[in-house]
Amino acid sequence: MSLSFLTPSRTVLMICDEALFIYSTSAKGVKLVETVPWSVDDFEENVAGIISKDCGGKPVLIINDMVEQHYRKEKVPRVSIMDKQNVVKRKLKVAFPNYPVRAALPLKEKVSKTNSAMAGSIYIFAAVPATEAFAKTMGAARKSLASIVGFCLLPVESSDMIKKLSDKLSDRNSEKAQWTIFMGQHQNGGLRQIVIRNGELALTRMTPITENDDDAVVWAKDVHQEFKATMSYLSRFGYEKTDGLNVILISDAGTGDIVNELMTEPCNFHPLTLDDAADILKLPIGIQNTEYHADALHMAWSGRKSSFILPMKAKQIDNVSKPRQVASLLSVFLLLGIAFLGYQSFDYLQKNSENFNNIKNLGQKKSKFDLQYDKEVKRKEDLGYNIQLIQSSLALHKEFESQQINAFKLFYNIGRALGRDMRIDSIEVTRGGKGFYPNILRKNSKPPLFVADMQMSFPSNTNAEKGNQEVQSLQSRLQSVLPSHVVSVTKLLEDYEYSEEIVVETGSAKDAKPSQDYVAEISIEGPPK
Amino acid sequence: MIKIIGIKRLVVIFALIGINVVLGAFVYLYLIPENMNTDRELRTLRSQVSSVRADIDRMQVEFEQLNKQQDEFDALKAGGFFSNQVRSHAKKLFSIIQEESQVISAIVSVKSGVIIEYDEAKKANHSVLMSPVEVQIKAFDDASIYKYMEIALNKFPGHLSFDSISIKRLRDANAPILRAIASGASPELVEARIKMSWRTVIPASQVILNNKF
Repeated sequence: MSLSFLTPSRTVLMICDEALFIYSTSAKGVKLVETVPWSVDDFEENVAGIISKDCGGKPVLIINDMVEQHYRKEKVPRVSIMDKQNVVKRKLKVAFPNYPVRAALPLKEKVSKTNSAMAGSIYIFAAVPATEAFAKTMGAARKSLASIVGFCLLPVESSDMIKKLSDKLSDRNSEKAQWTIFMGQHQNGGLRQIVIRNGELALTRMTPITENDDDAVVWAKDVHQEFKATMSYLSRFGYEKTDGLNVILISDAGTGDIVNELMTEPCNFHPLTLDDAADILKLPIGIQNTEYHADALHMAWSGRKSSFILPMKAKQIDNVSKPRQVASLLSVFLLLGIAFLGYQSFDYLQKNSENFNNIKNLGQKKSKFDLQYDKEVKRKEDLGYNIQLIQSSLALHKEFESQQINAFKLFYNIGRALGRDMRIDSIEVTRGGKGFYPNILRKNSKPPLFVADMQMSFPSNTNAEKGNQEVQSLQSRLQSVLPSHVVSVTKLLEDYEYSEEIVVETGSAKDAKPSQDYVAEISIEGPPK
Repeated sequence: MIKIIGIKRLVVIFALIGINVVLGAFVYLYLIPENMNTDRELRTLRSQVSSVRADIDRMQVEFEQLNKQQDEFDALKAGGFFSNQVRSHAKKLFSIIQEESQVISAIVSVKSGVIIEYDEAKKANHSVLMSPVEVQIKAFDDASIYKYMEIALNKFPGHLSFDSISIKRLRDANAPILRAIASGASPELVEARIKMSWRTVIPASQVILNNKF
């Protein structure tokens, strides 16, 4: 089953025809707290008191074990998932219009599509009448203020227990039996028989029999008689001898053997005491008064479940359980909120504490540094220097020098580039660029530090083409000796328009007098400022 | 509803709500703002500590560099960087420069000085005095002009910077010129026009109202 610390601790109310059986289930076992007959005065108050006081107000699970439980196998046509719930609900209402407590359980069995019928799923529709016992139980549960876990049917909720028991008892080498009949007498005297086929509920019967304590043989005969009656029903449910049948009986050790002797039907008969069954299921049930009453086993099994096979739906149940579930959920959320805010409080308190410590430490550190700073200032003052004047003067001198036109380097490099054969007529160096437009065309946004315009003349008998080549060659040489400068030819020998914005000569070269010298100009833009 | 839920459960729920409210108020109205304040205070303090530490480091580095800076400062001082641009002294200097450079003639014009504001100068409670200087030189060759410029840069008190330089050949070396040279004369072959800025640093207290010297 589940780990003991995760096992829910509950109050299980078992509704029987004669009385309400109140059990307390926990990880330790099952305890019958009280049996309250329906006819007792102030039933609801008494039961509510038992639930809230004797059982400690634990969540309540209501298990119906009355004779009047209605089951019907129904086929539900295959519909979309969205519609399925509504179709099942509608069919359930049609099947049991007068029973307010009802639910549907899908079975593994499916119906394939044929020529005459649609494909569909098979459901067990279950319903319980709104009896006085039901009303009284709900009234008591409401008054107890305990939260209601659910309202279930004992045969349905025990079907998986029977399957597990049957699987454990079966011989591993032999073929698994499809059918299992579980028989056990409850404390109200009735013999509850639950028949499962392939782990799903197929049939259940509740019949009164004699008590084991009176006469074991008579008890055995009664049980066998009821078993035979059940077997007669089984053939109607499609049972065949070849399917295999396990029969489990909860009884005293000796009585089980008597029943075994009476059995003539082919089956695997397993008489078990209550403790044996609990041991096989590894289900702690605690100390019980009798070994042949099976209801403690059912209560222990159902009481420890976290989810139920077929929780019954009814307005009476919802009216009580829903608000309490909401309240419980709200409490859980509020507790989570407290946990979160508590964590945040702790976290921020820790952060603030760290910050305060850091502020304190840094404050001390700053005081030390301030002291050291004052010492350093005094140390410099003691030297007798006007440090600010020294530093500002050096900075100013550096700034002036950075703006200085290094004319000597420029002239030296021009001289190198000219060589022995070439000469210039004039050179004009001016600070800054040649105006706004050329400056914005430069890739480097900073304007040049200076611009130097060189002019040179060639005799009128010079071959203009060769002269131009000389000028171009000089431009290349200048560019190579002044790499951070921009050297360009602004006028070639036969050009009459400057490449820049100023036109210095007009007219045609052909019109010029043969004696007039050719003039070429080169511009050097200094490095950026 | 109260009957179904139960007064006990309701009390518990309200108590839980109350605890949530109190804790929420404590966290969001006190702890978080307090945390923001302390964070801010911490950041400010960190930046102050870092600034003071940087200042100390800078001062220590400066202290190490002080000897070197002092030498440079002394050199500037000796070079007349803090002079008042005395015109008579400048006149003598230009005569010496002309002689040493062997240019044929040099017409020098030193215009009245103006105060130019520099942040660095302000820091030391000083101002920059700038006087435009224009020189027109005539020489036998350009080498004498370069020499004139170099001597001026080295000998002139304060800082001298070139604003524009124009050098032009006046005539070619033809036969009459060559004959003149052979006879020991120095004909004027090259002319230069140089514009310079003469800058010195003076105490702010010496600056007169109209900013002219």
